[in-house]
Amino acid sequence: MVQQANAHWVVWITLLVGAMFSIMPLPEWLSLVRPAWVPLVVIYWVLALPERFGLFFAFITGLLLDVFQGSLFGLNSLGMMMVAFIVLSLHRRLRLFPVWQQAFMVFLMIGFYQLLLLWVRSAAGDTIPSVWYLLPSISSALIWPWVMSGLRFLRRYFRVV
Amino acid sequence: MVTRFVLLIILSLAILYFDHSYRALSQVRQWLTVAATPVLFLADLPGRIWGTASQVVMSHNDLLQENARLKARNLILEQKVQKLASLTAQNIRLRELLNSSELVDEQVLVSEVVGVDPDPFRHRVIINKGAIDKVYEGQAILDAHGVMGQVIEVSPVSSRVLMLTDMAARIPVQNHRTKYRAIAAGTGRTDRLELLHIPVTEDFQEGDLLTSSGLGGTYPEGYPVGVVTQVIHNPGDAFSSIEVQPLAEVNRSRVVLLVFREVTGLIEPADEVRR
Repeated sequence: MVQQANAHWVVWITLLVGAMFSIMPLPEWLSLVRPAWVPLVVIYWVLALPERFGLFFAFITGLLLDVFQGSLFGLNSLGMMMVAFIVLSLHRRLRLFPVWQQAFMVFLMIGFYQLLLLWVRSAAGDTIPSVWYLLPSISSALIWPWVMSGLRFLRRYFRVV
Repeated sequence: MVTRFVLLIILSLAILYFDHSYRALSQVRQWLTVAATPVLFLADLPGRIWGTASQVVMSHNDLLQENARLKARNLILEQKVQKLASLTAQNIRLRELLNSSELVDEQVLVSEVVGVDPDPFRHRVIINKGAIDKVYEGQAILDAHGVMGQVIEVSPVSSRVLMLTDMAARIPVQNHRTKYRAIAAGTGRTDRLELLHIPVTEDFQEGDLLTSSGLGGTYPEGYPVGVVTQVIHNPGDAFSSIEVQPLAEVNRSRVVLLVFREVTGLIEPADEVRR
């Protein structure tokens, strides 16, 4: 058991693992439904510790994700901040929601995130709009219960406060 | 919180704008990518282990069969190379007669794909050679079957490659049969390219081979690009719609070739014309 409090490195490790999952090579049909791992992890930490991990945290994480994915700088940080802002404004209610309702909110938030990314990308001439772009929001919502309980276990085990 | 939010949004938008319009942050990005390289390799590890494992457990019989097949193939290729040597010599002689520029013998470097763009709508991959190996931006990438794409971002030990089938990719091609020049554009689908602005009267048939024309100076000349799979003449349109299947295995090849060549600028011929 780790005694040390404020084990914030756990947060960064989970983000790193999320980033790895999100750039892992997958077959094409599978990568269409790949959950948005990093936003999911960000949602969890902002929800669990809103006074520690807020907008600035989301901003930095987004920038790092841009580096990993080679996308335009500021693209993911923009989306990530929108998501963090929604979570911050609703976190008191979100925490009381049953899991399936949380999953529904995750569906909306990731959907919004994907939509925002799609807007910026098509404005920059990078991609064509397609409905497939919204598939990750469904898979993210479906996987949310497991992500949440897994991260909650880590948070309690390492006493991240 | 709201002020902070608005400030950070403005900051994000500013960064986006600068990165998109001025490419001002490419140096920063290069160094950050170097820092991220270990993670990229780590993310690729499961696929790598899977590949090694399937090699290790390959049966003796399969190996023998594969060996025999490869030997036969090698024989055929060697026979072709023999012919090629005499053809190259002949070609150089003819070029000398024509007093035209020398045939540039391209050097190649083998590289491996270590990561793919997680976004399924963009066809970009990361390869494990970078500035240290003298990779440069705009360098052409081939696989065993044809042209695959070009390097768009170089960091010291890895680089990012834009595939031909990406929405943003274009390649100058030439119909091998009729010598007609055209531009092939990526469609965002891994099995399809599209020819742009082909008049309906132009002779394109299914099965026509398209090779790179070498115009524009990015892609070397004469490498196969794709095969025409469908030609549609719509009477209402000014141009025919021509679909091309890329020959390179864009989403399957793990080993790729980087082609080095002296950049023959487009400026020289233009200057000659002016004079």
